[in-house]
Amino acid sequence: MNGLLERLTYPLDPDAFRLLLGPLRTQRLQGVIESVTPLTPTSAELVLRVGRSWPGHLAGQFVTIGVDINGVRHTRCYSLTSAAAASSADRISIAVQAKPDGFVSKHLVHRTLPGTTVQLGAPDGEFTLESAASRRILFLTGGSGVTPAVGMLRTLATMNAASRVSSSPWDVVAVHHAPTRDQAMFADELEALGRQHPWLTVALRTTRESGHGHLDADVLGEVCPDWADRDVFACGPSGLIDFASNRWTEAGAAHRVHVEHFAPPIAGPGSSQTGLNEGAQAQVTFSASQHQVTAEAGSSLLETAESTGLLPQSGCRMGICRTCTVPLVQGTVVDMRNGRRSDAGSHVQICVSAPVGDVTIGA
Amino acid sequence: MPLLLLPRAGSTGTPTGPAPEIITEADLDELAADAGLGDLPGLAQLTRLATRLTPNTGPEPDAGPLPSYSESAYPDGLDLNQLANELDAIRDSTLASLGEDDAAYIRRIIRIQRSLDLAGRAALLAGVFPPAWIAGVAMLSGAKILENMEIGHNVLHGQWDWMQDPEIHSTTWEWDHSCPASQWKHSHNYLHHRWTNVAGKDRDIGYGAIRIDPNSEWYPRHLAQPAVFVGLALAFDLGISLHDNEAIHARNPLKTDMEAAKPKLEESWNKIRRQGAKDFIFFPLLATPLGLPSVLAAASGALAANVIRNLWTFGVIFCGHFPDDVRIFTEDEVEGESPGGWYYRQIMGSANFNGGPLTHVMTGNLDHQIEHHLFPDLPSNRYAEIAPQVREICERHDIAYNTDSFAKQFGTVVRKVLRYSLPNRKQ
Repeated sequence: MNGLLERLTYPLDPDAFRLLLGPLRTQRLQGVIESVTPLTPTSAELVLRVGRSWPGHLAGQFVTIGVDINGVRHTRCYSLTSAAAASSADRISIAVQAKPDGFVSKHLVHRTLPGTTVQLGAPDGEFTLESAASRRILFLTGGSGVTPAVGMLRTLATMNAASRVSSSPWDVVAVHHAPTRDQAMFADELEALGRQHPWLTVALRTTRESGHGHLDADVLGEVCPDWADRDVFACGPSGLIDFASNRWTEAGAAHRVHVEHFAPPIAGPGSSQTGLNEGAQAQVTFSASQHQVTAEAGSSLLETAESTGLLPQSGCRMGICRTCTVPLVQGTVVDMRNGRRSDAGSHVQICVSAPVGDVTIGA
Repeated sequence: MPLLLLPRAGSTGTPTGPAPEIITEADLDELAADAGLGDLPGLAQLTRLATRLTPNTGPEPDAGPLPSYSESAYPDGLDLNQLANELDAIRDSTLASLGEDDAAYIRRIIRIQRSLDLAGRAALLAGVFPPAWIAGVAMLSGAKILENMEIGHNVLHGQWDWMQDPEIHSTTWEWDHSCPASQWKHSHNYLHHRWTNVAGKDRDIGYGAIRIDPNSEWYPRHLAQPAVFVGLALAFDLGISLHDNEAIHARNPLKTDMEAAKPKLEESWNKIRRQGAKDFIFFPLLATPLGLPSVLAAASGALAANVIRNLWTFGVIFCGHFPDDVRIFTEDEVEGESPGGWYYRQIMGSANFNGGPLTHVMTGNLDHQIEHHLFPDLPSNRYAEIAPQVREICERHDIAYNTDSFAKQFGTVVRKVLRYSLPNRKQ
C-alpha cells in the first residue's frame, strides 16, 4: 500500500502531503510546543506534543531539537525531563537553561511561543536508569545537569505509584548543586518528591549561599556515607564529573560511574588535542560549496565554518549524533575530545574536529 | 587611489604597461614568483597586495599609464571593479536581511503547490465532466509549473540552503520533472551559469538543437529547426532530461558513442519512467472504479498538464537568453575574466520580461532573468525588490538592461529561429 502511495507521490515522500494536515500527522519526528514554563529566571521547561511516530524514550535520554530562528534551522540536544513512557506518549518535555552566549537556549527559554513546530531526532543516550548495575543510585548533579536526573526521578515516581510492592526497592539519593536557590532548576519539585517518596533522599546544595562549599570527598561522605556502594550518575560542570569519575575509580567501582557531558570535554587551545598552536592559522577549504576560510586555534571546523556564514548541517555539537559527518578530502584533523588524528580519505565529525594545518572538507 | 593602481580588471590579454613603481623590486620579484605574472588573476592579486603595501599618506605616486590591451570584451570607460563592488553590495545586503519572512514565503509556496497538485488530481478523477477536466488541468499544470520554476529550479540552485532545512535543500531536493536533479545541477548550475552565453561552453545556447547564434556554423539540418523548435517546446522536459548527457550532443546522432552515453542515459530513463508511471499509469488507475472513460480523462488531463508546463517553461527560458540584443561571448573574450567582467556578461547575456507578482511566481522569478544570473543563489522572492537597484546601476554604467513584454521578447526569439535556420548571407 505504501509502495503504491510512494509511486503516486513520486518524487516526494507521501509524508510531504500528510504534512498539509498538520505537523503531527506525518511519519517524521516533529513536535509542537504546548507550553513554556519558567523554572528559574534563566531556564524553562518546554512541553511538546508529539505524533504517533514518537518512538518513546528511556529515562535519562536526550533528544535533538531542530528549531527555526529567524528562518534558520538550529539543532541542539536536550535531556528529556518527562517520565519515560512507551511509544504511546503524546507529550514529552525538555528543560533548557539559557546560557549567556547560548543563541538557541536563550531563544527556547525566552522567545518561544506555544504552537511552534520543532523537528525532533530519535531519543538517544546511554545515561539511563537501565544502565545502572543496582537499584542503589546516587545522582550528583550541578546546574542544568539536573535535567536527566529529573527525567529519571519522575520515571521512578511513576513506576513506584504503579507497583507499590517491589521485590528489591529503589534506594536513591539526589545531590544537586546550584549557585543559589533561585537559580536551582526543579528545586521545589525535587524536594517535594523527596518528602513524598521514602526511597528518595534529596540534598540541595547552594554553593553561593548557605555556606555550602563545592563537592569534595568530605562533603560526599557527609551527604551520602554509603556512596561507594551506589551507582553514581554525574551530570553537570566538568569538575563535578571528574570528581565522580576519580572518586569511584579510586574506590575500585569504575563500572558504577555513569556520566553525561553537555559540552564536549575539550582541552584548552594549544594543547596537542586541539590541532593548531595558539595564534596559528590554517586554511579550511569546503570543496562542495567552494568556500575557503581561515581557522584559528581552538576552533572546531564547524565553528570555523559558521563564523564565516557557512551553515553546514550539524546536530549535537559534541560529537555524538554524527549529523555533521563529512569526508576529509585533504589534510589532517584532530578529534578535540581525545586527540585522535584522522587523515584524508576518512569521514570526520566537524563539530569536534580541528584542523592540523590546511585541510579540505567535502562539504 | 586604488583606481590609479589597478589595471582595467576583466580586460583580456597580456598586460604590457610598467608595473606600479610603488613596490620595491624585491617585492615585485617575490610577488611575481608566486602570483605568476602574465595572467590576469595574478596581476589582480599583485596590485591588491601593492595597494595594501602602500602607506596611505603623501601625494599619489605616479603609477604610469594603464596597461593597454589589444582587444576588450567591454566598452571603453566601463569601470568593472566599481560595477562588481556595487553588485556585491546588493548581494551582501540581501543576504544579511534574509530571515523568517523569506522562510515563511517558500514554505507557503510549497504548501500551495502541494495543495494545487492534490486538488488538480482530484478534479481530474472526475474529468469525464468537461468543467472538472479543465479545472483539473489548470490546477495540475499550475502545480507543476510552481514546482519546477519557483520551487525546484530555485531550491536546486541552493537559494534556500541558508535555512538549513534538510528537506528544502539543494543537496536533497528531487523535482517533479523528467530530468534527474543531479544532472540538472551539472548542466544548469555549472555549465550554464558558470559559462552563461559563452559559445562552445554554455550548452544552453540553442540547446544544441537550434541555431540561435549567427556566428555558429550552419548545417542543412538547421533548415528543419522551426519544426524542432515546436517539438522541443512540446517535449521540453524530455529534452532537458537528455541535455546533460554530453555524448548524445554529437553533431551526427548516428555516430553517438552509446557506451559513453549509457550511464547518464540510464539515470535519465529511470527518472522519466517513474515520472511517467506516476502521471500516466498509477494516477489514472485511481479512476478505475469510475470506469474506463474516467481513467482516460485522468490520463489525458495529466498529459495536458505536462505539455502546458513544457510550453510555459520553454517560453520563459527562451525569453531569458535568446531575444534580440542578448550577447553571445567567445571563449577568448572571457579568458581571465574578473568578477566585474563576469557580472557584465551575466547582464549582457540575459533578458527580462515585464510582469506583476503572479508572473514573478509562475516564472520562478525568471522574468527577472538578469537578476537571477547576477545572483543565482539569492532567494528568488527578492529579485523583484533588487531589480530597480540593478537597473539603476546599469543605467549609471551605461550598460543596456534588456527588458520588454513577454510577447515582444518571444517574438524576437521566433524571428531568430526562422532567420538562422538559413545560412548567413554572403558578405
